Amino acid sequence: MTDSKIIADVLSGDKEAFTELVRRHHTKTIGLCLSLLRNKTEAEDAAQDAFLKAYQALATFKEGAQFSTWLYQIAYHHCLDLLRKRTREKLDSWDALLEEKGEQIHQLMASPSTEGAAENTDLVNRVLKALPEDYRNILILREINGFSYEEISDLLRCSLDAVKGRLKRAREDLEEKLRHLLKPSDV
Amino acid sequence: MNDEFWKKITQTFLKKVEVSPDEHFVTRVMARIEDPQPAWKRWLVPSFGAVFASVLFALTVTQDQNDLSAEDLLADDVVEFNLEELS
Repeated sequence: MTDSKIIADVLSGDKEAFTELVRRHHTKTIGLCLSLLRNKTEAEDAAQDAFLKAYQALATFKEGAQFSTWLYQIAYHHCLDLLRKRTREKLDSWDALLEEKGEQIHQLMASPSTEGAAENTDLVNRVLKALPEDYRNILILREINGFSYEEISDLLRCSLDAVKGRLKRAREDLEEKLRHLLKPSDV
Repeated sequence: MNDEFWKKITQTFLKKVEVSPDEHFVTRVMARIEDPQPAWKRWLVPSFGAVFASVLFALTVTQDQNDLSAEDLLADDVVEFNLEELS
């Protein structure tokens, strides 16, 4: 059964039919929230909120559109709102982070398999947070979540060319920032 | 752009997120759809119940302590009264 048929059933009064939409799309929605919020509990709560918002706004869903893209849009913008509310969170400047943790970042890149350790997870989070917001978000969408250019274009409400351009600049920026940490033999 | 270097960056800082299907998550979402109250409202009644039970418990304990003290005092009076009678 297609998502559109399920939506039609829900709108005609079959509330339980929405269960199938949650079942189909929850892993990717939680993954999106997790990659943005970097906290499992907050990510699950945010994903729940996104499904609830989608359910409440289902009557406004445009027939013919992709339900998944619409849902990811809701989840993405909800996470950005939550991130903006984290006003007390300390943000590192890139230079300060390199000065404090440059050696550890170098070691982490030399053996990325140790990333699971709590202190390394924290370091990865700090590196991502130190990037400009636009670059960080587009890298998260493309590299961590594996969204297509078209999906990112829908999520960010911009053209395909804009997505490709911003992604290229974001990659170059991150490469440039990390390159001088590595010895010539590492590159 | 150096592909090897970029691969190393993605393996370190941009690892793919793997989320397993979770039927409990599906159930929780559907429960919220059935009862779309905010979290604080869902906990309001149980919280009042817990506070009421705590106050009741505290009063009962205090009452028991008061009863004991009164009995002790009364017992002391009875002993003194009996002693007076004997003398």
